[in-house]
Amino acid sequence: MDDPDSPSASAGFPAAFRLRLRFAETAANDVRKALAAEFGLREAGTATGPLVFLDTFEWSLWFAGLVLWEQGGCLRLGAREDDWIGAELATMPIAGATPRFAEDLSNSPLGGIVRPLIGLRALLPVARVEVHHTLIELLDANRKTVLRLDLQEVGGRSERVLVVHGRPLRGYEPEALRAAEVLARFAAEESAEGPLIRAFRRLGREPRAYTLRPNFELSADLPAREAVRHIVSRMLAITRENERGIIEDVDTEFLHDARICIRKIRAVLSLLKDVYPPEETKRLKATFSRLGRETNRLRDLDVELLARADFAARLPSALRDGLNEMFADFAEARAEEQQRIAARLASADHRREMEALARFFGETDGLAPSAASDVPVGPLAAAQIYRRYRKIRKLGRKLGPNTPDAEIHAVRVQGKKLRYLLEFFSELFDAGELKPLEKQLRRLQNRLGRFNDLAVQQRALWAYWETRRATQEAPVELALSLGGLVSLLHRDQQEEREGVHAALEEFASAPVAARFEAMFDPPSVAEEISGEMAP
Amino acid sequence: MKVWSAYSIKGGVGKTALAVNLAYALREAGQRTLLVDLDPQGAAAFYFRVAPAETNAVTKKGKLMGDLLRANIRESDYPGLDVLPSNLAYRNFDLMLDRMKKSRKQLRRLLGTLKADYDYAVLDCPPNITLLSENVFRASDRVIVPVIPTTLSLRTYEQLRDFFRREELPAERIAPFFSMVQSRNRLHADTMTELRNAHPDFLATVIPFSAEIEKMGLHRKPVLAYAAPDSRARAYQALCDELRARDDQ
Repeated sequence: MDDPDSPSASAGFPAAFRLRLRFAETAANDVRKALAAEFGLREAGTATGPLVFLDTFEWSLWFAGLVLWEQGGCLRLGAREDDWIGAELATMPIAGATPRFAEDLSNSPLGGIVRPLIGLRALLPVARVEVHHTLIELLDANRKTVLRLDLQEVGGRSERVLVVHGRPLRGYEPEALRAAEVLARFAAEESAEGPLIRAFRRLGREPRAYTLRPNFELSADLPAREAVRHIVSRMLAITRENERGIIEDVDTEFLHDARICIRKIRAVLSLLKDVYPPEETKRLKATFSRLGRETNRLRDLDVELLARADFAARLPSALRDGLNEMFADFAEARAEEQQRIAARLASADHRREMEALARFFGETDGLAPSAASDVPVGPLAAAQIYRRYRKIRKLGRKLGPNTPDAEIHAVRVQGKKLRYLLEFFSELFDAGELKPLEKQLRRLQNRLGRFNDLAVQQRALWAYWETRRATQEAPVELALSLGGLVSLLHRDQQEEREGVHAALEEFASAPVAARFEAMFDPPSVAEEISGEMAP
Repeated sequence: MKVWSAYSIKGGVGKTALAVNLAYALREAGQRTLLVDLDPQGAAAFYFRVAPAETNAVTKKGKLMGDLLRANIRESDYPGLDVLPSNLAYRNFDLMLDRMKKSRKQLRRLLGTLKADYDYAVLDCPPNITLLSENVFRASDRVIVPVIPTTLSLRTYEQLRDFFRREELPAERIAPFFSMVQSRNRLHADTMTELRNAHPDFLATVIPFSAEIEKMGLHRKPVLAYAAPDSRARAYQALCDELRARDDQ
């Protein structure tokens, strides 16, 4: 009822207004004096409290132009305005601990906005700001309240900012306007650096765009080894950025992203052959393959646990409880595995290995040139991209309704390689021409991904059942639930198969093929690399 | 939006205090409430420190204008409770209503334009039975009538019932209650017993005579906003609860 943005302050009436005022030691008093010249003033209370701002590792909310904060047992979402809270959009009471994941946000309007933005990411405290509120009521000659002001002194002593929120009362808009005019005399100029950025700095953070597709600063004539160096060192840096989140077990996306980086490094090392001497290539491939393998189990367990809600939704309610024990087992196994991985990543061994790799890819490696080390990367990349595309086309032609899952999986692996190549070298090609091809590929990969996920899930459930049967008593409820679930997953997978065929057919179609050929296999390029790239 | 009207043929029976405090009690119960001051004396708005309306909601052509009415709505100092202040021109209300088509349903139509904004409208009506009162009766879900337990008050209450019967208005809309009751007054006690027997529709809650209620003009606030938690003036709260419970039946 007292919410300033409640529907009773309905359309057609001026909404609450906000102003950020120039700061001076006496700003609050100056403002008061100026207002007192035109209105009666009544102080209606003061309050001091911390605002704890929340966002994800990727600053998902910040970059969506939003701020989310916890204040007095409530989670509040506002528009970000002039580096502070602007219009308040939604509020959600907090029952227990501060919500951390999308699933902790109830079906409130706040949840509706925040959930899709954060995905699987955890909400973390990113800033803590002390705010001192003074509530002031402006009165008319009848001592009737005509405007409520919330004077907020924000931030530490040395860098305090004054923010004024005004809430006009219905029917007293002219008075509100007059007060706003008085306040505007004190308004600060808009600046990039406001109370929030300063608060982030105090915690040693700053909003920055996070991406798994950074710019590698490549050019077509860059020697291949240099290009690989650029790509790997960047991906290594992102891997390391994610390690803390894995160690502290913030959310599942840190591991997921770190694994993508490792996979991309492996891909670039194997796709651009001969940029290093053979024994060096072998050593690097083995190292990164091990780094990837190490976290396979943890990722599998993450994926299984993340499927919980989906599994529950698929099963009739009577069959849901049968899975509780399984998920408890998964959770226990995951906790154990997480600790193992955290210890491994925090170890001096690991740190030394990562630092050595960073050094190796950081500057010149001092190794002798190899067969492809000095080949310009542009044509090499184009040839590889075209080869991958043709390979997928060829594999796709062989697929039929009875193709084993493994062969469909092989298409997906090739698709991934192609996708990574396009991502690595997108800088070298015309973005406008590349985009539709990437989109086409993404469509195919999404289909293949879903198909594969359904297959993997069935296998994981079977595997769990086998171990349960071999090692301990397997209750009939579990058998029922697993049986039901596997059947449903199997049916969905069969349905997905048709989608995979259709997507592949489209991807292999003549127009798409022609576009790949035109972009990556123009006659001149073919001639140039024909000697080096013979299979 | 439900419409509750504080109405009495006779003046000085605690009608405005009823309207003001019912509106306040509804707001306390989380209901978005509009207090409509139809009494040209403007006492209801006075208690909320709201100045009389500047714009006459009745144009010269005699048309009630919803937009003009909306422009006159003032938010009280209690968020969730708005006041539509009275205007002296309401004195000519009857005259103008008389000239209009469907003259008995104009108020109802007008209030209808506000129904999205409020859960309740509480009307403080001028005394007497006039065309405006008839508009009030047709627009209201409840006509709440303060009755001082005296023989004279009884007569005016029965006049109202007669009027409802004559005009074929639903009598169950009328919700009478005893107002300004002096607990040590023997006559009051006897009249109340007698009346309750004759009219079982009287509300159980009784509003006592209280110096605290009389001081509303001094405070310029509803008595519920300043009365002590154990004050007898809290009866308005109980009255509101009883009326809402009756609505729910």
